[in-house]
Amino acid sequence: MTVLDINNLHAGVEGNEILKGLNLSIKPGEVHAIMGPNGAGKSSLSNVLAGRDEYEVTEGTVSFQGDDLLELSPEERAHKGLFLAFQYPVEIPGVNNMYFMRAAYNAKREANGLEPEDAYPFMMRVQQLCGELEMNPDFLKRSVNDGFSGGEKKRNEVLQMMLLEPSLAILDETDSGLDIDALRIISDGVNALRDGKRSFLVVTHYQRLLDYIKPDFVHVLADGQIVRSGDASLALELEEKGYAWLNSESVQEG
Amino acid sequence: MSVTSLMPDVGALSNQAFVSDALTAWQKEARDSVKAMVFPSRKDEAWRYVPHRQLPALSAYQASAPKEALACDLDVYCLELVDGICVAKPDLQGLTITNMQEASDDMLPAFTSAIKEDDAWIRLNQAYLTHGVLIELDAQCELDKPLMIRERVTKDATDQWLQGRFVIEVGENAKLDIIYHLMSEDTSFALNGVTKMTLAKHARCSYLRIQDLSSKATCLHQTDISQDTSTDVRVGQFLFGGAITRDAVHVALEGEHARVDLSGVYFPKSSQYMNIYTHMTHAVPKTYANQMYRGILCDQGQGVFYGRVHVLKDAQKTEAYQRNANLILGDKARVNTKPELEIYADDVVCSHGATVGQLDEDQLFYLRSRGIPEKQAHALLLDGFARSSTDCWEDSPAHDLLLAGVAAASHTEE
Repeated sequence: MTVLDINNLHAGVEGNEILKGLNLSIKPGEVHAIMGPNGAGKSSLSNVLAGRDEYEVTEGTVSFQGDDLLELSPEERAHKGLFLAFQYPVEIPGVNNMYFMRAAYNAKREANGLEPEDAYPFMMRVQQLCGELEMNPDFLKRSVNDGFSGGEKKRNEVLQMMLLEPSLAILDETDSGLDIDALRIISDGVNALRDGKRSFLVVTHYQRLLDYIKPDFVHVLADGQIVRSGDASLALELEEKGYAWLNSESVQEG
Repeated sequence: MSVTSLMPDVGALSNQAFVSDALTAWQKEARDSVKAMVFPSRKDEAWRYVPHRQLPALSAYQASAPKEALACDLDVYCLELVDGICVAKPDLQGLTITNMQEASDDMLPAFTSAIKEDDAWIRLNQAYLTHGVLIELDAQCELDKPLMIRERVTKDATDQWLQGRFVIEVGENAKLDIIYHLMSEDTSFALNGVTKMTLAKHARCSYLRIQDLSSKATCLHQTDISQDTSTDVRVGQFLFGGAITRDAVHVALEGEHARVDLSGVYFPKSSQYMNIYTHMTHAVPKTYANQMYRGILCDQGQGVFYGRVHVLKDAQKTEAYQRNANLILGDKARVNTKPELEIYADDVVCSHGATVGQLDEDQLFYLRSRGIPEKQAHALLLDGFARSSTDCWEDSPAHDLLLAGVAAASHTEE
């Protein structure tokens, strides 16, 4: 049984094909890293999986825990356990962070036939997670991501992830804009969620994040396809030789 | 449009008689003069965007049988009027509430003090007044809770024009919080209202208008506020429902260090029309005004924000700010926003900004990706958008009413 099964996925924006026949299979508990040069389609893959409207899937299938993922609305995907940590978390002035998180938390509970959680126990739950992420609880009183620094926004993403306990978490360039300390705290948060059942798809440009979040598999995405897969050592090789190395190799192979 | 064209049968417009001869004379003067007057029209800048032709014709007012007062679950003192008849009145030390019909001659100056933007509508109100209340708070006096004026209109007033007037006088160094809540049953009627508020030196006052009307109602209202030295005022205009609404506020800052903060939300849906008109007159040096208005326009709803700031020549060191932001949600929705600054002093700080936009798709997707259903995400964003105005009233017992108004409008939005 796989958590996520992507088969020959073709997708694009306004007629421009970005993903060109992508295949990927993730089993429970696995951590997969997707690396690749700018413009390879890394963020497009994250967005297609989360259900962003602008992306049109033209071919292929994606099954998520047995469901046809592409038939589900973004909120249904979240209810079924998919989570996307945004590369650029969105600022929402006027919407209280704590209120937002409780709405999200309870929407998922209700979709799964559970009673919504009251404000007080929920607040205790979130505050404890804040402590684990070394995040000032004052952020909960502010508007969602409004005026947060880059690192604070990413911490807020991981806080939501820890709260919603997804079965598959996609981390889209979560390391970008982070200093070393923040990187360590966030990685600790992610690693704490690794329980042998929960799966991760870590999308990153640099190998650095993979020092902290050890992947089981590394895939290289180039021009909308996975051109190479391997274990963690592939990431190190890439770091050393650069993405150009792949191009030259694939040209030689071709 | 002449006044008589809107009044097919002026003689039939009845009203309650005054005890005071002086008030009777004051009214007669208006009855004589109003017939020759012309209503403001599209040619008058301040009334330019009003759908004049859709205003209902005037008809007779007939006092209906007195109703029971509603229970009030907010922590306020409640003054309640139903179809223009006072049904509940608090009895508090330092606060005097007088029905205009029972007023004595010596109250004449308060009732008849001039309204700054005197026009045919104001004169019509004077001529055919259906209800009037004088509220006076003694100097140095402070109420421990807000005074809520709840004005209800029932089906008994169907197709009638009500002409209401509130006169509020706040004594020196006194503090008064007023919540004016206008609500109606599902029926067509019109209300032409005037509120005159005068603050003596060092007085503080908040005045929150909430309109919660049937979609067949028409409401034209002008508030006229005069502020003396070191007075502090907060004004709110929150419009929900009603077919045609024009809610005008004129603030005259006539004493140094007078300050006023204004905020509001208009949320027209289906084919509703809502117009907020503000007019600040900075008459003396060192006065301050800040305006924060938000519009949400759905379906074929139409909104107007017209903000006039007038800084007189001697009014140096004036600070005047104005912000108006709008969200257009319907393909056929429309908004006209117009700042109008007229500044004759040369040492002032004034700013204004108006924006018109749509709901942010990235924000909507972000919320949905966290599992929040689309409708709820929508409502959450509208609530968030309105917060810069609604949160100006966070300390008011009516804050929840404002949030509920935005939420109710959001949830029924198509």
